[in-house]
Amino acid sequence: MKKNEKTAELQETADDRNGSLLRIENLEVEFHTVEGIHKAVRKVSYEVKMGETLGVVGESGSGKSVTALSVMQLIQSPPGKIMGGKILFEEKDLLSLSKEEMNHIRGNEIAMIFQEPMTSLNPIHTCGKQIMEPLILHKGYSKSEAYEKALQMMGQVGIPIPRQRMKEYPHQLSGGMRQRVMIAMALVCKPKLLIADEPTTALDVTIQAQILELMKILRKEMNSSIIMITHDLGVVAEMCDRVVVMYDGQIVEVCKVSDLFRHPYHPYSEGLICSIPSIGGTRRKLYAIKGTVPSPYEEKTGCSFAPRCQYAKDICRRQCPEMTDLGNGRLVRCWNYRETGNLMETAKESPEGRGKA
Amino acid sequence: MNVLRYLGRRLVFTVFLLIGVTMMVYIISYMVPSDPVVANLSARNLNNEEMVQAYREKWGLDQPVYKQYFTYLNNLLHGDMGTSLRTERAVMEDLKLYFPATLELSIFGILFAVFFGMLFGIISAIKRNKWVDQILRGVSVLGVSVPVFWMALLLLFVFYLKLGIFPGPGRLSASLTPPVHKTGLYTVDALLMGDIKVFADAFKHLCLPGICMGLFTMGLISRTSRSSLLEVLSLDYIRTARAKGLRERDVIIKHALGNSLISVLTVIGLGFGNLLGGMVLVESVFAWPGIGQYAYKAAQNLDFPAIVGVSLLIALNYVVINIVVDLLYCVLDPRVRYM
Repeated sequence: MKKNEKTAELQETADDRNGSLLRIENLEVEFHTVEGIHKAVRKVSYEVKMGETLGVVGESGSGKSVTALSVMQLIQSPPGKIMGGKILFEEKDLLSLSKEEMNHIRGNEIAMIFQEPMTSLNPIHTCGKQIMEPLILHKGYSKSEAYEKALQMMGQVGIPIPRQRMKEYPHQLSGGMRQRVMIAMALVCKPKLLIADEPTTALDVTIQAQILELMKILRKEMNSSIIMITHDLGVVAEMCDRVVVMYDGQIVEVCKVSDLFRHPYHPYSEGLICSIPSIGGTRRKLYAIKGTVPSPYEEKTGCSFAPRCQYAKDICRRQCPEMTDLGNGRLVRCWNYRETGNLMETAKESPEGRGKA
Repeated sequence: MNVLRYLGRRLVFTVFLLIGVTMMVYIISYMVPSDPVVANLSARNLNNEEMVQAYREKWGLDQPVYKQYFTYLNNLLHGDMGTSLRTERAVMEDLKLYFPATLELSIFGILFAVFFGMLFGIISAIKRNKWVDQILRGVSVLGVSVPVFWMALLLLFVFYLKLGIFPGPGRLSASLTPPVHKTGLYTVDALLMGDIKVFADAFKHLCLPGICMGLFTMGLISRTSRSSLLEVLSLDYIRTARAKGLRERDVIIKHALGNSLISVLTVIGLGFGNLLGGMVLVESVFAWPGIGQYAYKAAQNLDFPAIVGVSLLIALNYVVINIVVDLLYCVLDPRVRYM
C-alpha cells in the first residue's frame, strides 16, 4: 500500500514539476590551507527541480556538503573560495548577488538544516526566539505575530507542549527535539528550497525514522524542493526522487533513485549499493570498497576512483572521464560503465554464510 | 531559590576563607625575620629596655603568637580590626579612609579597560589578520607589557606637563575643598552635593591614573575577547545564524557576543580584583591616597593589624567579585542557570 503511494508520488514528480528551481553549473570550490590547495568541488553541475527531493550521496570529503554550503554562500573564507561556476536559483546567479540580496534569500527562500542538532542551536537563546527570528527578519512580522506563527510551526513539527518549549533553551531538549526545532526554524518562512545536510546522522535510529517521516509530511504540505545530503542510502531510498553520487569533489553519477538501486553504472555507486547490509534474503559477505579516499592535496591524473576500482584499465589512470549522457536523465562519469554490474551479479549469485566469512 | 542556596553556600565558604587569610598572614608575619619594635621605635628608645617592654606590652607583642592570633580573631568577630601601629588609628577607620580612593580609581580603570578592551577585541576579531587587527593587537600587547610606573610618568609628562589637558597628581585641585565624606568617592560625593565643578575636577583627576591602571587589564580583556569571539564565530550555531540570513553585524551582536562574553567575564572579574588591591606604583606617581600606598607603608613598618586588615579587605574583594561574576554567568548562560 505504502509502496503504491510512493510510486504514485514519483510519477507525479516526473510529470508535473519539471521547472528547474536551482541549477549549479561547473561549480569549483577550493580550500587554500597551509598543506596546499584542496580542490573540494571540481566542476560540479546538478539541478533541482520544483518540488523534487534530490539526494546527494558520497562519503566524507566528497564535496557534497561544500557544494551545498556554496549555494548558501556559507563557506568559511578564508580558507574556502569559490573559484568558478554559477549557482542559478530561479535563474538568478547567487554568486553575483550582493551581500544584502543574498541575506534576503538565505533563510527565506533557501533554508538549511545541519547535521549536529546539539551544537547548531544557540545555547543562550530560547528555542522560541530562534524560530521567531527569521519571521521577524524576512517577513516583517511583529513579535506577537511571530510568536503565534512559531508556536504553530512547533506544533507542525511535532513538538509536544509547544507553549512550554518556546520558553526553553536548547540544552533542555533531547537531540530529536532539537532537530525538530531546527526544522521548524528552517521551514518557518516556507522556503522554496530546503537543504538538509545529513539531518539524521547524529540521531538515534528510531528518532531518525521519525524525523524522516516528518520531513516527508512537511514536504507535501509546503511543496518545497529538498536537497538531501547524506551518506545513508537508506535515507535516499526513503526520501528522494533523484540522486547525485559524488566522489572526491566530482559527480560520478546522476540518476533516478530506482535506477540507482536497480543498476548503478558507476563502479563507486555499485560499491555503495553492494555495501548495504540486507535483512532477509540470502546471507552474503558484506562488501567493502577497498582502499581509502585519495589525499585531497594530490594532483590527479585520470579518474580519481581508479586506484580503488576493480574495473580500472590503463585509460582510467591516464585520463579523467567526462560525463556521459545515457539519456532519460542518467549521467555517468566512467570509461567502463558498460561493463559494471559484476559486483551486483556476484552478490546475487554467491551467497556466503556468516560462518564462512 | 537556587540562587539563594548558592549565595548561602558561598557566604559560609567566605567565612572560612577569611579565617584562612588571617591565619596565613599571621604565620607569614611571624616567620619574617624582623621585629615590629625595631621598625617602629627610634634608635634611642630601642636602647631603653623599659620603653621596649612597654611598647611590647601595649601592642600585645609580649604574648605568644597564637595568643595574639586568637585575641585578634576575637576582636575581629566583634568588628574590631585592631589599631594600626603606624597611624595609631583603628585599622577599620584607616581602611574607610583609604579604600574609597582606590575603589573610585579602580572603577574608572575597569570601565576604561572593559570598554576599550572589548571594543578592540571585537574589532580585532572581525578584522582578523587585517592591518587594524595587527595595530590593535600591538596596542594590547603594549598595554600588558609596558611597566606601569613608566606609563604613569609618560602620561603625566605628555598630558599634564606638555599639553596641559589633564591635571597633575592628587584627587582634587588644591583650590577646591573635597566634598563632604559620604561614600568617599569624590565624584559621587560631589554629585550628591550637586557640586558640578568639584565633580568635573575630581573626574579629570581620575583620568590619567585610571587609564594607567586600566591599561594592563584592557590588554588582557582585548586579547581574551578577540580569541573568544573568534572561537564562537567558528561554531555551528553561528553558521545557523548566518543561514537564517542575518546580516554579519547582527550575527555578531545577537548570536556571538553574548556567548563570547562568558569567558571574558572571568578576566574582567580578576582584573577588577587586581585593581582593587591598589597599585602602589600608580598611586605613588599620582600621589593617590589609596589602599596600595597604605599597604606598602604598613609592610614597611611591620604594622601587623594594618597588614592583616588590608589582606582581609583584598580577599573580601575577590570573594565579592567572584560571587558577582558567578551571578552574571547565570544571567548570560542559561546552561549555568539551570544547573
